[in-house]
Amino acid sequence: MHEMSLVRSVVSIVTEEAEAAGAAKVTKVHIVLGEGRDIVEDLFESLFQFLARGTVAEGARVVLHTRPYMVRCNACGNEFHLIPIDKRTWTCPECGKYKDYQLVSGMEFYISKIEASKGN
Amino acid sequence: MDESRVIEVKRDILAGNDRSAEKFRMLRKEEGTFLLDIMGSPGAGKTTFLLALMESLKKLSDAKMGVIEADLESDVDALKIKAAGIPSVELNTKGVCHVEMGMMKQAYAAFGDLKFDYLFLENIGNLVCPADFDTGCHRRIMLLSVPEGWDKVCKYPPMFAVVDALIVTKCDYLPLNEDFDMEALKEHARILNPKLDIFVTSARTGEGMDDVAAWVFEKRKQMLS
Repeated sequence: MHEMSLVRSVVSIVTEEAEAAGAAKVTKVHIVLGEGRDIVEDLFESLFQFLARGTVAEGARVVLHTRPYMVRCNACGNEFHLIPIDKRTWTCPECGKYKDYQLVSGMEFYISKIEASKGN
Repeated sequence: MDESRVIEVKRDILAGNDRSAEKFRMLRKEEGTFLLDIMGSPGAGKTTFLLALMESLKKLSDAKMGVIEADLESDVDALKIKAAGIPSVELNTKGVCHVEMGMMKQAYAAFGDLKFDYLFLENIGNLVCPADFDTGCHRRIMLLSVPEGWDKVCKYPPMFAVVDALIVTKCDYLPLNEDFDMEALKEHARILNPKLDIFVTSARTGEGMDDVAAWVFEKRKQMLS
């Protein structure tokens, strides 16, 4: 259950940023999450509600934006969606090169923005 | 009235742990200590592999070695390492499924004045959570035992994606597990991690262990150069 550590960090970043910006109440937290991050979304959300109690982020909604595994073909530079268990996706659809690429997306895990109501 | 506003943040959620890990890694490098994070599921054979690896490393050099034994509850593994005459620190996470930097620094401090050429972290037996947490090690490896089946690579892709080497353990069981498709494992493991080094070993028979030791020896040399 590594979600606890992660959510603790989320709450601390969110409260720090909201307070620095003089926000009175955080309403939404937008998180960008790569496919390669194993997160239980329901658990993440409920832990957030629990750990954010008594802070400026209490009651805020967590919005997760997932990013698929994307790779860039070493031969032609084309970027395409890779599905690790689907062999058909291991070939570049542009130039036909097989398994010759670098991972460019899919391991993201950051807070992109927060929405807040203005302070007084 | 209540006006909504957007605050751009763009902050990595794991940045706190990552920064602490980077600093720890630098400090150990300056001391000449090479840290290796060993991950794998419960029963993959991490402790037995580690004992065999240290035996093989002894053949290559007269190195000082130590082990941090992370375990949810017990000291079973730490005692095995101590019985082999290797200094070890037991890191009980009390149910936490991974090791992060706060724990790692505490465990390291428990060695006091002892300094090592190689320090091994036997991570919590788990193929999911440890993948996300940088433990301040110089290299990370994962173990997959033959009895577990080759298809774990399809079920836990992130773990296979973040490690420097995959060690297939208990290869003496290969004749008993006809379904274990070594070529399929190698092919799938390199889908997300094209540069992955792969070793096939058995700690019990010693097969492949010298090759892993040579790899570890080489990685320490690279770190020092």
